[in-house]
Amino acid sequence: MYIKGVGMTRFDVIDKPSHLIAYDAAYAALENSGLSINDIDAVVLGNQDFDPNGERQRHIPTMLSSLFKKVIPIMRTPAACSSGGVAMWTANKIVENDKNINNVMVLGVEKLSTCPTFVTTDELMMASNQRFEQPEGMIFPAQNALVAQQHFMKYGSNSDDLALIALKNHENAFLNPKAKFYKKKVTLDTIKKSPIVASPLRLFDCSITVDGAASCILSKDKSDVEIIASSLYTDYLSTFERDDMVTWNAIKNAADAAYKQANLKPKDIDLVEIHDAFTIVELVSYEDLGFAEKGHGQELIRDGTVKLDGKLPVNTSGGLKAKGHPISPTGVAQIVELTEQLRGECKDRQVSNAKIGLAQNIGGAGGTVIVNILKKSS
Amino acid sequence: MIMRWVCENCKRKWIYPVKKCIYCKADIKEETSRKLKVVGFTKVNVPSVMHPITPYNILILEDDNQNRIPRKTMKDYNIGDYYEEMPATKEPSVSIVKIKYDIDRAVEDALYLINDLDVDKKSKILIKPNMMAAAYPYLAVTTNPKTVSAIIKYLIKHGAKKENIVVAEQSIYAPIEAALKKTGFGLLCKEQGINFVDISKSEFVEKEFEGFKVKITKEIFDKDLIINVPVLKTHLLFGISGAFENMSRLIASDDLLKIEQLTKERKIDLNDTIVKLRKILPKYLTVGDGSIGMEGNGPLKGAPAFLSYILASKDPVAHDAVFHELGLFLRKAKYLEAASKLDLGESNIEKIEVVGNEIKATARELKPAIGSKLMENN
Repeated sequence: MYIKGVGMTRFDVIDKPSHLIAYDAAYAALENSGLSINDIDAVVLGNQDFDPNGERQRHIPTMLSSLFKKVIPIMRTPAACSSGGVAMWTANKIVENDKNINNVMVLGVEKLSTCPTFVTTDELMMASNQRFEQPEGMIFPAQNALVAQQHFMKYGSNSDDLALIALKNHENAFLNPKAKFYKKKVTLDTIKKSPIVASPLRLFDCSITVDGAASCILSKDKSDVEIIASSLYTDYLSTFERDDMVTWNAIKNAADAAYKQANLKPKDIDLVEIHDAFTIVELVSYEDLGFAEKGHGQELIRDGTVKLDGKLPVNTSGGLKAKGHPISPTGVAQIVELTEQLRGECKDRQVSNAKIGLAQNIGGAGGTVIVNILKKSS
Repeated sequence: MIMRWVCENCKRKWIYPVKKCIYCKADIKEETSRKLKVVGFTKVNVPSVMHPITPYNILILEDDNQNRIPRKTMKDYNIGDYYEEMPATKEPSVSIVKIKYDIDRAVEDALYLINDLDVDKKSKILIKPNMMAAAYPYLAVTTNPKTVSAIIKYLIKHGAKKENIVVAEQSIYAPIEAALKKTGFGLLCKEQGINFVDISKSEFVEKEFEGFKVKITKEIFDKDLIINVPVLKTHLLFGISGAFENMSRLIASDDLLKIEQLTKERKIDLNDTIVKLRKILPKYLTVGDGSIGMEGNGPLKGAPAFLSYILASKDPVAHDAVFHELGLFLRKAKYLEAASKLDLGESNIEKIEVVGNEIKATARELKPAIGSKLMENN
């Protein structure tokens, strides 16, 4: 499967309703692909139907039908923060298996900025267990704080490691015009002195919610970027239910399946977009994606391996941390970044000689994981 | 308390009360542990809709079988501390139990935490739910029959005989047959072989207290134990509807209508009246049904609040005072202070021993009953 074109809005506060934000990303992806909306055979939408934003717009697929003036198959794949990734995976399967469908538009859109933070925090918590986590105050920062604490205790990682991850992603976002923190300088001191949200996680360990949309057009027709693997795995909803809170099996399983599909090993990957909703998730992912042994993830940030000029640059876009995390578009935006990197279009943050990129999108605290591997076509 | 449902054959565990193993179709056995160890801890500083009071702590508790559960608390703990919920050590006490597994467990736990009930095969017991109208239980206008069912199961488990248990109530807004059918109490009594007493058709005895004269059903005066099971609601006249309001339907309906008329004419204060009623009733235990509960314009036109907790107390004033705190209502229910002045119970939260869950760790803002123009003609 090939990527014909990609496009996204800036991730920020956007003074437009969701459907017009989506329109902008779709338009950009079509322009980038050289295709027309007439060439699109189906649309898969990643969207969470975020109710408290005041839009009260259910049944968005047919709303997109109105917007694009298209009466084709359009579907939505809500899966918390992995809605975009699930849309990618679904679109890939559709193009692969349906002989009548040649081009599928994947679209992720969400509008979050019209809600006060305490409402957004509550809304996002609905992706956790309704009986065992929600009544116990397990907002997502808390869930991930507990994972961080367990990792610290078990493997000797610490808050300084997490601060370095945050700093790296802010440095990368500084160079990304689509990022919320583009050209905004954030220092290590600012990160380390930021208030504690849920101990041991500080404000700068948490990604920032923004509005945004991202789009990508998948095709049977050859292009300059190929999707050579796409896998999706799930795990038990709650981390406390799992044998080990700091090993996220859905990441391991999705990564293993993707490496197998692509006939590659972790060492063959040139750059990675990781779902760093919280800095600890990036650290755990270093391990569960196979880039470090379990308990040694912190070494990759300490020795600079994952920095922009390191051996394995991670989150060149700035990641969810500093590019911004509009929930559903995130998984699609990761594909946008990898595609642009593989094409050599990323200017100041370009990874030299990038040929193979991996994107990992997560829903919940490791409940759903999608891994895509992209390759520069020869 | 941690519970797991374990397959007797393959040993797979569920956090949900499943009846059969979906893999090997074998029977399931329950695993329960009360003595737990703190293995994780985070202090959360950001509020959300469900958790407005900060900071709060979340513990990860683990039992000897490595089963874990998160627990919200306002108290500080260290990793390695033991955590055990013990029954109340003094009166007045109120237990708060969040429904985790099912209502049966929550009711059992709530009663255990107030030192259980002293019943035997000779105990004559009356259960008084709220069946004021013909309404489906999911609307929370009336008591959830599952809560009453859980109480009956508890009583029988502790030695009571079902032939000695009656459920008694009268419906004010509908014929009793319609109320029995819609609320689910007709079916409950039939299935469990429990007698139902329609209070409106029962014998009455006249009682007087400080010039307050009413006819009260005789049914309650020959019982060893009266269990009041109000549905926890907001109330236009009282602020909240709990232990006090529910018992008002032990009064003959013509007296109830008289009281209503005198209230309309502003000749009496209904808040004083329900307080005086407590003085002429025998002692009773209250099990507050917050399995769903109501907020907004209760007692009839509010919305389900999905409280998911059960309260239990031998002190009706303390019970209602705790519910009042749990809803974070701005105005204190007038009748609570009046009841305290008459020495009918404790309305000062500081003097009540709260067991099970803590008030601040459970409280969230409920919409008060303030009325609306739409209600004027209804």
